[in-house]
Amino acid sequence: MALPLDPRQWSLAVKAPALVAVFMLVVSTVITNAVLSRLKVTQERHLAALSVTYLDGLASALVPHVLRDDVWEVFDTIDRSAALGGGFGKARVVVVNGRGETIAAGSSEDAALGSSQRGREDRFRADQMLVVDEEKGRAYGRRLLSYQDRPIGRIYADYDIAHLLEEREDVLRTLIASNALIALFLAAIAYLTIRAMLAPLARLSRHIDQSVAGPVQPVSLASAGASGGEFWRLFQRYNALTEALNEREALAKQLATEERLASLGLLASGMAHEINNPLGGLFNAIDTLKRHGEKAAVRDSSINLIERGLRGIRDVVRTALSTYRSDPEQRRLAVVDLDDIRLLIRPEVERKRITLTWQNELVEDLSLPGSAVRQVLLNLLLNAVAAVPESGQISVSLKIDDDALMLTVDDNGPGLGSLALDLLSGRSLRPVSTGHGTGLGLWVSRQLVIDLDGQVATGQSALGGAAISVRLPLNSHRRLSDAA
Amino acid sequence: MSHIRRSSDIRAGGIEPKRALNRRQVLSAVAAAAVALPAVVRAEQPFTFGLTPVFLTSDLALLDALQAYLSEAMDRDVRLVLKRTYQEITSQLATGQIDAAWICGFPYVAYQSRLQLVAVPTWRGHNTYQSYLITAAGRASSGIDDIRGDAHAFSDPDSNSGFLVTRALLAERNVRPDSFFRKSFFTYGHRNVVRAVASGLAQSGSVDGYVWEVLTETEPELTRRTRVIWRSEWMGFPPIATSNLNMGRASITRLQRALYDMADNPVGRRVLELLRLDGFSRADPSMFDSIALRVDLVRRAG
Repeated sequence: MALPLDPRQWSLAVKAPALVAVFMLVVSTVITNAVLSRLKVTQERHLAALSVTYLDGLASALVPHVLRDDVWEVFDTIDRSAALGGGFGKARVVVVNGRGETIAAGSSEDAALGSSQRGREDRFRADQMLVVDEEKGRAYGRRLLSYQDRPIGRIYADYDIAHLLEEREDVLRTLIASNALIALFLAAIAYLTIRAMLAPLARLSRHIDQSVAGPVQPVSLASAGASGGEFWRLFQRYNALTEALNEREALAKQLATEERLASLGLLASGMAHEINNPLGGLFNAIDTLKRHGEKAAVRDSSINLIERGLRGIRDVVRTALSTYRSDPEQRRLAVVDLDDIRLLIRPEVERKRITLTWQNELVEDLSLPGSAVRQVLLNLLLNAVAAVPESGQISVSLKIDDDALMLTVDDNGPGLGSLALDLLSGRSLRPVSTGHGTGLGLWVSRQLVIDLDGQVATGQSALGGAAISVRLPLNSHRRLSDAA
Repeated sequence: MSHIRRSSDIRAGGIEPKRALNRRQVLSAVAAAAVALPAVVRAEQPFTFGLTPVFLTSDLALLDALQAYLSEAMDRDVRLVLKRTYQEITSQLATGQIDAAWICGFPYVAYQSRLQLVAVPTWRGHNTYQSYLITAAGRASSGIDDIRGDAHAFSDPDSNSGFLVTRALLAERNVRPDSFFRKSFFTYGHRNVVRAVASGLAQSGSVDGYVWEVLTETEPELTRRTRVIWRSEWMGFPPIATSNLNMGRASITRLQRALYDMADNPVGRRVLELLRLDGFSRADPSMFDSIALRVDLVRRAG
């Protein structure tokens, strides 16, 4: 798994250990500094104490010899003086008289007899007795030699503190190594812990990914960790959500059926109206026949009237049948099939006194499933009828354009709302109310168009309202029917 | 002690190997002497014998052996008196505070009127020794003129080889040590002169040739860091002397006898081995004439 460069993109299982490591780094830096400065203070205090003891001992032995300026005895005293102890080895000692001139040095390399050592004083500030020079790995001590309260000379001691610095480096190395180990260990523990803690989340995430592609399924609570824990509750809520979603989908399906029934009811009442209209005339004609049937002119005109009335009823019934035939068989779309739609919506059109312009340029049957195309057109028309005001305008255009059937419905209504646009363009996958109804009509149309490999385009109509164009390709279906 | 065995080998011509002693035998002899002492000691003052640190007095084994031998040979309790300087020993000897002492030729010459010689050691077959001028090992110098301006280590102001000889050399050049040398100081011990030069405290030193030679055997790591750049002519070896007042006393005669016969006694031979000496013999004042000449030279030069 390649880690992205941007830490913000890291997963929590990486971020947390990284945070632990950074935290440990800060803590160990602080601790290391504290330990080292503490060690340094301790070492220097220890060295200062050793130096004072050492130089005090040396001073008491040296005073009589320094008083006499006895080179040999001063040298012999320095030469015999015990090592400092504590790993410092033998100090490099120079003893000077009151004028700062060398009486004797432990090593002739340090100071020649009689040479001025006043420069050594420059190393010390005020009454400092010990100065540490870490760069050179040496420490410098001094001690005034006095006799009867009169200064008679000084001792300068130069200690090798390499082992102290080495000790510090050792401590530093040990601290770095142990802190690095602890940081690694804690980071590893953090990684494993966080990964284990986040495992249910990852499972849920995978589950959601799968649900996007397929049906939304509840996730097993067994993998959510301890009952009542955060993830358990999250999983529960997620399951409640899937349940709600599924219920809504089921409801939507049920609503679609109900919508279909509702439109059927609407149409049925329209159809009853259509049938009822000529019925009065038919009964009148029959009445006329009964009374004046012997008159040829009356009889003929009555029979003619009855025939036209029955033909109208037959047309209405046929249209209803063809629209709501549950026959799944592909049926060629006849030109008149679409014209029949006019008949179905006529009651509504008349009720609202709508001006319906019908432009049918089709001349031959098309290899498209008639039922589905009629359903689409009917839904678009019903939508337009619902949208336009009283005495509104609706224009329908049916034509063949570039191997496709183009159905265009214009109206002078208020235009399509964003929800209706979402429904038609497919951005909304589930039916929502568009304000005039349940929105199922548009949704069903959209699904039917998709089934027919078609496209829906929406726009502004020249009439002032919405323009909805449906393009249904003929090719695939024509070829199918030709092959058949 | 490696040097003991080595000295036994050197002395093999003089001592039969089967009679050579090791340290344990010496110590047991010392112990036996100490146990035997109460029986032989009479109710008299111990015989006091002075030594200066100019010699190899750092070796306690030598002092123990010397004391044990003298007590046994003189049949009397002997006490060794150690002082830091020749001056202290010489003055105590001249005033009769100590019975006898191993002093240097220079104080003997200086106090000749008040001192009598008891014996003189024999070293490598002679009663003579030399004074050396030494420098650090790596230095190219061939004489006194090459060490002008040095920090110079002398042994003792009353030492012949450790001071007078060099002082006389300078007197011949009409200079005094404090103007010839940048700095000079006394270490009150020939071994200390070698240490001072070896450690670099002094760039050159005046030292007893006998002591330096013995040190090349006992502490070669010390003398290896020094180089002899000049040797004096042979002079009378530091003698054992007593005050005029003591001359003719039985104790002095016994001391003389004990010294002469030292090589005949196992403990005595032990002492001689440690000292790298052949023995002791009769001394004659003329042995120290060359030292007297130097004393005169220095006195004239002021």
